[in-house]
Amino acid sequence: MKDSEVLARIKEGDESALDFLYKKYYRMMTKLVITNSGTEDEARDIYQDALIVFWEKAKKGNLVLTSKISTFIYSICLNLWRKELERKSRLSSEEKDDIEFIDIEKKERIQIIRNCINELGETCKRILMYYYFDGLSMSDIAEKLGYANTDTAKTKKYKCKKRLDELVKAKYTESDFMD
Amino acid sequence: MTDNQKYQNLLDGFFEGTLSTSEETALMKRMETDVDLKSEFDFQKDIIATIRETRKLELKNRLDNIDIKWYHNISNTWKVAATATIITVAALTAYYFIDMQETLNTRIDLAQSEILNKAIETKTTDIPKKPLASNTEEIKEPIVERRTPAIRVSEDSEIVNNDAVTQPAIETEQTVEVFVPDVIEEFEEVDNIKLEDATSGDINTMTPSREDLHSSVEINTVLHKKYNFHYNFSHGRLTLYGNFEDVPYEIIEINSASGKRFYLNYKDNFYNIINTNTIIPLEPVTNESLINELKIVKENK
Repeated sequence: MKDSEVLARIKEGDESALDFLYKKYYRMMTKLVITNSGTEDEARDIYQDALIVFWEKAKKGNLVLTSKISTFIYSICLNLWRKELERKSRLSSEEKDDIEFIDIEKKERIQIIRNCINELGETCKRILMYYYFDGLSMSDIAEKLGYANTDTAKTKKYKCKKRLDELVKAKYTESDFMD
Repeated sequence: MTDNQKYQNLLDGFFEGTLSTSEETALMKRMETDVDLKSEFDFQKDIIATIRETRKLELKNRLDNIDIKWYHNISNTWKVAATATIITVAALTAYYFIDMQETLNTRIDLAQSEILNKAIETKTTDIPKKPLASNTEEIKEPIVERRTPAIRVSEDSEIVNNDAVTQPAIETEQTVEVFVPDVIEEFEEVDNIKLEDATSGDINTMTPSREDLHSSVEINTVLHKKYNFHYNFSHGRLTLYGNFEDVPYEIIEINSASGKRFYLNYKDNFYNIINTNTIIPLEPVTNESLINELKIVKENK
């Protein structure tokens, strides 16, 4: 599969194109991390994150490739791994207690939201993810999910988002929310 | 539109990325003083970030489920298989090439052996030059027979001079065997060619027959007190009486409609050879056209 074809398929939301890239460059990309003080798990995590960054950029449709996809993903991997190394370095020098406390509180809130997202049901979940992550337009969402028109998709999205907000607010305690 | 609704719309526009710079600045300024708006902003920020994170996790889970080891093992298996195939093809090619070389060498050896044998056989056709009697003529041509590539002269043959001819009894018997090599397989195809197909006396239409090619005329020369320049020819055995050793002679065999015919070429003359059990004198061919034809056959031989 040529780069242009991969890019076109990703823009259409074809996730198998992502699978293709993942398999094709796995060795090359993970080697970058492993040979730079990373573990196999870290390497896989960085590579997956890099692919998702590429997916996001490609989906938004404003990505103009001036190099091969592999070169582009490689540079993303490199940047992500540098950031990760910096984060690890910062963690080792700063006081961890406060950071860990903040992280735990935030993690709890995020976990509540996740649970609420999962309670929405598959359709609402898809609409919100396609809209806020994949950057699909309402017409694309309508087409992808088989709605009659854009307005139907727009109404559905509004209702799903409102329901999620209500679910999360209901589960937050006053103290959690205010903090 | 109330203020709350207005800022809620601004929040939505902010997270959807549709706000202008001035609207965005106004929102940020408002949040500095409006605690509820700031709380709502943080709430929406967490929700949208978690929606995005959920989608990321979904994609990462999808990638995690891909068996990379299997994929690369398959890839490696293909590489190994491809390598093995290349090696096998190379080995087979090398084996075939070596085999062909050996076959070729064997053929060359065989060919060389055949050439050597021919050389040996040709050498045997040379009539040894021994001191000749005063009245013997110089050897001009080797003894050959038509369509016979090799003529073997028996080792025990002796040169007999005219003095020996004067001896009262048969003293020496010289055997000249004419060998025709086995017919090659292709001649199976000419099985249907009959002697009758040949036109008598017309050498242009003469065709070899299987029988012809297998023929072997055994020739003996005998020095005899009584018979000089005689012969008898029976059952493929030709006995020449007289001194035929000093000058080469040649048996010319031709096919015709009436069957095989044999002629003796000796000292530039042609003599009829007919089947006979009795010893008869060699009679020269007198028919001029036949002589001419025999000369052509001899020259083209």
